[in-house]
Amino acid sequence: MKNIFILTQFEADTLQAMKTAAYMSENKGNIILVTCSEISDSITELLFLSAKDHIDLNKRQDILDKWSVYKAETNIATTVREHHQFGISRPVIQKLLESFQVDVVIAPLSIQQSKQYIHKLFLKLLHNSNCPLLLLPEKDQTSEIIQRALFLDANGKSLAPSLQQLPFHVIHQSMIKEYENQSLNVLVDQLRVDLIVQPKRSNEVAEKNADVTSLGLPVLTI
Amino acid sequence: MTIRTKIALVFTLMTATVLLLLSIFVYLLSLQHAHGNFFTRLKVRASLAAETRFGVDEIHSVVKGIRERHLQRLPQEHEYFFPNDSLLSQHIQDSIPEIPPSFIQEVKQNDFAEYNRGFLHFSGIVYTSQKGKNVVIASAYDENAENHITFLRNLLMVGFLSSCLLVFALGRIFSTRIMHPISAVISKVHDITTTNLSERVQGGEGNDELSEIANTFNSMLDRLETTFELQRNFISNASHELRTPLTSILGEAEIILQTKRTTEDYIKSIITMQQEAHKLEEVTSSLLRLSQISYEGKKQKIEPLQMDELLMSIKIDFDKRMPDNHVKVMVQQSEENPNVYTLMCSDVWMELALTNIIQNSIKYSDNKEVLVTLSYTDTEFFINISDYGIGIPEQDQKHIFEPFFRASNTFNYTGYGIGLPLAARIIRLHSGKLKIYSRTNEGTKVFIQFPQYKRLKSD
Repeated sequence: MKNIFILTQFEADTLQAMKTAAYMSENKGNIILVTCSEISDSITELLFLSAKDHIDLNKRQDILDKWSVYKAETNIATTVREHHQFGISRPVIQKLLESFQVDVVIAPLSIQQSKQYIHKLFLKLLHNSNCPLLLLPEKDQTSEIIQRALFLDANGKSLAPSLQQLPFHVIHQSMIKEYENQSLNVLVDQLRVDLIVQPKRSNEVAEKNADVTSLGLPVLTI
Repeated sequence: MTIRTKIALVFTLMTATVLLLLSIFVYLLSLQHAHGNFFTRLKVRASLAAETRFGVDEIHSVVKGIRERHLQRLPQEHEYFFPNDSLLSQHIQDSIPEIPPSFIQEVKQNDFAEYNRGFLHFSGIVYTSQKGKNVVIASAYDENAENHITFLRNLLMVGFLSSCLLVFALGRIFSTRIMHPISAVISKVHDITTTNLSERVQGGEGNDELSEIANTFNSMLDRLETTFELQRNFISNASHELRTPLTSILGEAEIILQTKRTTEDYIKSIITMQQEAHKLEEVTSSLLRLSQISYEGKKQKIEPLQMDELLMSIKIDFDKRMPDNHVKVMVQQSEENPNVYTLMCSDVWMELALTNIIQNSIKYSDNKEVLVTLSYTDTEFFINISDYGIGIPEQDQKHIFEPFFRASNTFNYTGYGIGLPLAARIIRLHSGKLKIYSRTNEGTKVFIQFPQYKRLKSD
C-alpha cells in the first residue's frame, strides 16, 4: 500500500493513525492528511475560502512536530502531505480517491465519534466506495504493530492478493473451523489477532457492527 | 577507414549528387533558353530580309530604312535567298554546306525550320510574294550567349567543387562532434577493469541513442559489479564456513597427538572430530544441492503435488523431530475445486524448500508459535509463514538470498546461510514468488505465491 489517506481533525489519535499508515506502507509510502469542512452558503464567503480558518493550527503543529520526532527516531522514508476538502459528495470523494490513487483510508476514533455532519457523511461515503477503510479503536488499545489479522467473511470470499501482500498475516475465517463454536473474543485472544478484516456490507456501516467494534481492535473493511 | 571519415564522405556524396543534378538542370535550361531567344531574333531578321528583297517597293524601302537604322548587325550575320524550285536542295547545299538535308526538308514541309551547330544558328522561312515562293535563310553566330553560357558553366563548376569541399569539411567537423561521446565511452570502457568496476560512463542527459548507449553500459556495469560482489562474498563466506570445521579437526588432532593420552581422551577427541566432520559434510552437501538446483533445475522429475498435503506431512515430520514445536498449519478449504492447491513440481525439492523456511521460523523465534496458512484466489494460491522471532535487520534484508549470508543478529543461532537461498531458488524455479516482511525483534512473515495448475483446474 503506497498512498494512504488519514481523515483527521488533528486530535491526538492522528499520530497513532500515521504510525499505523507508515507500518502498512512498509515505511516508504505517502500519507495524505485529509481535513474537511462544510462549504458555506454565502457567495461572498466562498470567494475567500481559506483552509486555515477551518483547522486548529496549534493541534496541527503539535501532531506534525511529534511526527517529525518519530520519523527521525525510526529513520523511515514515509512522506506526509495535507489536503483540505470544502464540502463532500459521492462524485467528489470518487475523484479524490482517484487523483491521489488512494490504497486505503484510515479513520481515527476521534473522526468516527465526531458529531460534525461533514465527518459522518465523509465516513458514510467512504464506506460506500471501493476503497478499503481502516477504523482505528481507542489509542491505548491500538497496537502499533499488526502481526495477524482475521478475515471475517461467512460467505467464503477469497482473500485479495493485495491483502496477502501486506506486512501482516491474514487468517481467513474458513481456516479456523475448529474454533467455530467459540466467541469472537476468545478466538481473537487464542489466535493473537491484532486486526479484523471484513468485507463491506451494503446496508451496514462497520462502526455500527457492535460485535466487531467491542473487540477494541482496528477494523479494515474492504 | 574510420566511421568519422565514412560519415563525412557519405554526407559529401549525397550533397554532391544533388548539387550536380541541380547544376546540369540549370545549365541545360539556360542553354535552351538562349537558343530559343536567338532563333526568335533570327526568324524576325529572315522575315525582314525577305520583305526587303521580295516585298512591294513602298514597303520594302520603309522596312529597309528601319532595319538599317534600328537593328544592330549580328556577328557573322548572313542572309541567303533561294527560289523554291526543284534545285532548291542543290543550291542550299552549295551555298551553306553546314546545313543538313533534314533542315531543307523541314523548310519545304512546314515553311519554317531552325538549326544550330554550337552557337551558329540558322533560321529558314518560305516567303510567298507576287513573284513566287522563295526560301530565305538567315544565319548568325550568338557570341553573347556563348559568353554567358561559358561563364555560367565555369561558375557552376567552381561552385560545385567548392561546395563539395565545404560539405566534406563541415561533415568531418559534424561527424567528429557526433562521435566524440562514443569515443569518450570507448576510452572510458577501456579503462574499466575488475579493480575499478564502480566507475561509470558519462552519458548525457537527453533521450538520444548516445545516452541510451551510455545507460546500457552503466546498467551492464551495475550487473557486473553486483555479480563480482556476490562472487567475492560467496567465496569469502564459503571458505570461512568450510575452514572453520577443518581448523577444529586439525587443532583437535594436533592437541591429541602432542602427548600420549588415555583411551577416553582419544574417544572424546575423535567424537569432536566426527561432529566437525559432520558439519563439513552438511555444508558441502548443501552447496552441492544449491549448485544442482542452479544448473540442473530442469532435470528433476516434475509431478502434480497437493500443497495442503505437503504442508500437513511437513507438520507431522516436525512433530516427530521436534515434539514441542508450535507450528500451526491452517488451510482455507475449497469445496468447489479440490485441485486448487495443486502444483507441478519436484516434491523432494518443494518439501526441502518449505521445511527450510518453517525450520528457520522455528529456530529464529526460539520455538515460539509459527503460523502457516494456505489460501487461494481464482488464479493463484498463497503460502504465508509468520513467526514472532528476532526478525531480520532492515539493512540485511537485501542480502538474505545470497548464499552463506547470515543476518547480523543471528550469532547465537547455528546455521550456514544456505537454507533460504536454496528455498528461494526452488520456489522461483517453480514459477513462484517469494517475499519477506520482517521487523527486528517483532517477527518475520514469508509470503509465497504460486500460479494455479490450469489444466487440472479446467478438468
